[in-house]
Amino acid sequence: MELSILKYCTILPLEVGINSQKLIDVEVQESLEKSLVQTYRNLGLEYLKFFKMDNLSKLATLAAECLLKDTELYAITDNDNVAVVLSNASSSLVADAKYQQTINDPGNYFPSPALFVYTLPNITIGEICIKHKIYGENIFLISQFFNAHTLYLHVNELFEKTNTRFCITGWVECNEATYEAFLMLIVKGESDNVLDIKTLENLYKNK
Amino acid sequence: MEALISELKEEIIKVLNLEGVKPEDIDNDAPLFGDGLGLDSIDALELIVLLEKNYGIKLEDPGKGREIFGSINTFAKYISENQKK
Amino acid sequence: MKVVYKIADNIISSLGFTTAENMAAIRLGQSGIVLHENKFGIPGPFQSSVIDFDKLNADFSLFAELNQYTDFERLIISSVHEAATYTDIDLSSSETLFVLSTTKGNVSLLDPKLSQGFDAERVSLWAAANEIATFFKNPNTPVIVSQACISGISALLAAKMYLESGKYKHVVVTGGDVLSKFIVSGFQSFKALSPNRCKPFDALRDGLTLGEGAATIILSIADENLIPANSIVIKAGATSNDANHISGPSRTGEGLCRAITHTLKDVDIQNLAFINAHGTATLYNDEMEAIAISRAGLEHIPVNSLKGYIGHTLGAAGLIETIVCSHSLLNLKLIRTLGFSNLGVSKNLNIIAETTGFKATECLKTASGFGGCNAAVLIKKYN
Repeated sequence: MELSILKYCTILPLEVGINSQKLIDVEVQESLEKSLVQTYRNLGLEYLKFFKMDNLSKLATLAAECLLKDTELYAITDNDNVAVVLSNASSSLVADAKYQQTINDPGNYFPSPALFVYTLPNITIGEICIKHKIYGENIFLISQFFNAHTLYLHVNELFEKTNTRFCITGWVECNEATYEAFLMLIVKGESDNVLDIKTLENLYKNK
Repeated sequence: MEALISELKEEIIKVLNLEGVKPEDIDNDAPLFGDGLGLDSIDALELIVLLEKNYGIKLEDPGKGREIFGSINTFAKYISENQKK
Repeated sequence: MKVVYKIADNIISSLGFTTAENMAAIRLGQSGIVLHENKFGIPGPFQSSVIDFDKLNADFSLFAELNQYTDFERLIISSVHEAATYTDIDLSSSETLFVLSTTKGNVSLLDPKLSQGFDAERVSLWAAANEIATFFKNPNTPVIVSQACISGISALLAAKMYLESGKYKHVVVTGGDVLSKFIVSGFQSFKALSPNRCKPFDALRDGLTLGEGAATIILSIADENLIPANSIVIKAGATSNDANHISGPSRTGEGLCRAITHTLKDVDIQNLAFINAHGTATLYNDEMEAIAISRAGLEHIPVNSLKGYIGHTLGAAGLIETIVCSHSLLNLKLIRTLGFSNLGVSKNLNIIAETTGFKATECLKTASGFGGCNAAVLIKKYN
């Protein structure tokens, strides 16, 4: 089955782009959280739930927003043929560490449900599905590095074996040092970028 | 009561990450859940933590939450009647 | 036609260290859930189902070096090690892939009191997975699925797809979670835990009970005419998202209904013996499942939940419970829902309250989790 990468987006603390073209300006901020909020504002987003999210879900939400802007997906209301396959290295570790702080000191022991809920990497998928009304196949995979082989295998099989017609897939990584999102929209048929392992590796490397 | 209400509004905005909401925007009698501030089930659970952390009140029955957190006024009233800190 | 089938399995839980031990206890209606006081550094009492780690470690030290591995890694390695004794496939072959399912892996290493001298990066799921795959000398990068409570079924369905692609001959699907202050306190902050042993689908249900567990299902693929008699085949499955709320189940059972419907697309439900639901015994989960099952037109199909026996084992749940389902199919015996007395959901579900016999050869296993994710898998006994 011929699959191609219709569109891809990249979000880093100093770079936000679509198909390797700059989308908006972003400037250096004191913290990763501030960078994410600035990106939100510069994109002109209006979604108050954003401010309840941890950094990882903020990043995933921004990446999906950039990716799905002005695409056919918005015209489809019954989106259970849209799959979401996300991956990263750190799972939800930043949120985990934050939550751990609320339980470390027996004298100041106040486990926070609002922090705990974000201690699962697949919450990113939940947030994307809620905002864009997506009901399809979904999975969150962990690997030390961006794994083009596994993503290719998984996405290809979803198109072959399920009713998937579109797939949002890629890498959404957030750790204490930095964040990076590389998210693609995969469709059936031809476009500039055929979905294969080499293309995935190149696009990710040169993002 | 005024001071408590004012402090409560600040705390709620901070703890629940209510972006763009200022204390003066919150009507003391307006519902906090549903249409009001649009708080959800996770917010309700965080308010239970707030009750204990800031005011020493342990809410054993989370079912009572909806009543107590109905509005700023019901919330403040509950705290002033049960405060331990 | 090629089918994906199970060649070996293992369950480790409070009820035992092998599938046989677990099945024997379940048949006797035993529960491994007990009351703990101040365990894991949690203030106060809570109910949970825990593994006898003293015994696990004693057995482990007979074939591996205890201190090189974390509790979680020892648990998974032990499970795979035992499952592998029932087959002679080569775990170190490049044609064998490891797929690991877990929600929190080595998260207890974040606790300053429990870091045990491991490197900071050992808390990462990929680091734990590498230790496990390397132990069995497997050369492939393990695939790791971390998707809350549906991780196990999600991993199983991914493994099925990978086998069908022709890229691998065998897949070792393994998964689990170890309880910790992190996990228990988190569920407590959600007021999700029952002060008693959980009561799935019951009118008096008041929360879930956590459990530790691990399970391994070793899968292979072959022509359906060439598989051994009484093989358990992974026939179909699907995942779906509620697109509603990140922690609260959908009031309309949206995602679960779709996952079930897609899974049963080509299935004659006359042949469906039972549905093993997620059945965590929270007010909202069980009600959501009742609605989804009803919407899918399956209200009359016998339904059970296994959470009363071993608690909710998180990353292991989908795998442990699928294995138990497979033995249910083999023994032609429905397993009763421990903890259930009176129906407490708005749909008239047929909750299995007594162990009874049946003839059908297929069953459905479902799961739902934080993030609005849902999964269903159909397994079938082939003659």
